[in-house]
Amino acid sequence: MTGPGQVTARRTDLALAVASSIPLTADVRQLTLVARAGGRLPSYPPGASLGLRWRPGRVNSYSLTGDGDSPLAYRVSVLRVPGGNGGSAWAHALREGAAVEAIAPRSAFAPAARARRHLLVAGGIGITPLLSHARWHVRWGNEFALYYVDRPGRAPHLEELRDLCGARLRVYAGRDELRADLDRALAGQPLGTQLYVCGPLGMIDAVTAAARALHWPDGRISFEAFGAADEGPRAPFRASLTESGCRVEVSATETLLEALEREGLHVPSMCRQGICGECRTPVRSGRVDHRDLVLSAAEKAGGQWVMPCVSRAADSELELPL
Amino acid sequence: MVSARLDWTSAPRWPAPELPAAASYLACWFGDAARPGVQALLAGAGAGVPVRLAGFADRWDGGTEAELRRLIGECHTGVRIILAGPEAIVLRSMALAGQLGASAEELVPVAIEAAAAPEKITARSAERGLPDQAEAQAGAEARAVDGWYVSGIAGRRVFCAACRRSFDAVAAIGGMVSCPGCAAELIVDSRFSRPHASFFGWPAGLDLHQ
Repeated sequence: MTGPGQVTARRTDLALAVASSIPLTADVRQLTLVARAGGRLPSYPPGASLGLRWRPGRVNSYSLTGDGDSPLAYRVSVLRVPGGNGGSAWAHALREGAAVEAIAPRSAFAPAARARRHLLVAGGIGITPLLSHARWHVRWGNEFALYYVDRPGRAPHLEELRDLCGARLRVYAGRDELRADLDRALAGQPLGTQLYVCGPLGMIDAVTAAARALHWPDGRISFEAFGAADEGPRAPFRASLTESGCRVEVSATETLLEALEREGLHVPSMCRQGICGECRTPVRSGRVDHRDLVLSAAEKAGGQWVMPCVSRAADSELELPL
Repeated sequence: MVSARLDWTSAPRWPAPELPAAASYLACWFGDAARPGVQALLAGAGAGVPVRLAGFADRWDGGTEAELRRLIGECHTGVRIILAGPEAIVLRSMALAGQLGASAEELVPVAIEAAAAPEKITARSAERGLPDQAEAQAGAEARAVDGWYVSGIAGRRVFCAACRRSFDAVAAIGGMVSCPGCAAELIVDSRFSRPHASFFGWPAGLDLHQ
């Protein structure tokens, strides 16, 4: 249980080494990582992500693409993001033998345990967690189908997916092409089907809206965003820390998380994009301008939590019990 | 009479049913007495939304289960399933729907209770023991205001903790029943298992609270 005042997550650090780095497409490389001490690595549920420390204090999360059972190696597929924060360029430059510090896999997008069928929809590099799901479903004989959208010739893991999924895989060159097929599919899924969507935000919005329009219950729709939350304009505000008595001025050019770190506070964080949920921080008072993809609508309305990596004060001040 | 905090017990509660929007409906009722409630609910269905109707007798048997299994198995995601009838049968049909993949969001349970007055499940008094009558009264009124009720001394399924089988009984929560399987005298607890559609029955003489 996490409650106010208990914001420190337990983490396990792993000492890994790069066993291989191979290009999958022009802008995606697959890294295979093994334990530096040898042996098996911790298991993980399908859809889990591995945090790689690419600079002191900075961690990027990548979806693991294996089935997660007692792995001898972790595999991640890293898309180079030109103009990103530098993490993907770092990962692309890694070569065999390089030492990598990692945070043990975290489950964020696991298959629904009680679903009778799984409908997976992936866009671009969003295929990575769903490749992990597909391996799991193949292994355990679960019923599933995978809809994969990417530009022709650019889609990573395509050949592997064809071998793995056979007729359960459908590939689309664009979102419009997917749309017609997916609407038909969403209308005809047996009761107990769970929908999973991973890809760019626009695709997630389109697919989840289509499912809701067909009255899929919210609990039957899972998604994981690839790409940053929408930040919008930033205004300066003040964070009052009730435990330490500090007042932290947050400028328009920095995030609340950066301002807290500048003041020497340690707030656990990973993606710094409003996606992973690691920096969840309690709020004592003040309205929050929520900009993350972690909290549910009910949690956002409840006003008890803030994701300081992207969210800000809606007014001039937030009171945090730090 | 046993008492239990209404916000702690897992005993089923029955808010006034509302019909959610859906791509289609499957409406099942168990016994003629449950049919009007189903029809009233369906009056709120959107125009052109397909509705499948299925009436059953107000008892649970192999035939009922097989037919319900077939009907639910033909449903597609987007459906909402109305299950109306005596509490014990509605709970069994909900457990079956759950096995077949339905989530709570996809079910619209409607329990009708012909026989008994609402049971007084209410706050425990300070020490474990008899419920405070004034509290019991206040609890009953509060539930009436919210439109919630808990079923009375009616048919309910009880899971025997001694021989690990469920059976149908007529018993109040906190009342005693004799297990037809192993003859153990059981106290019917307020704890309810949704997958088993059964109340927990524990052998009298074992005080689980000590």
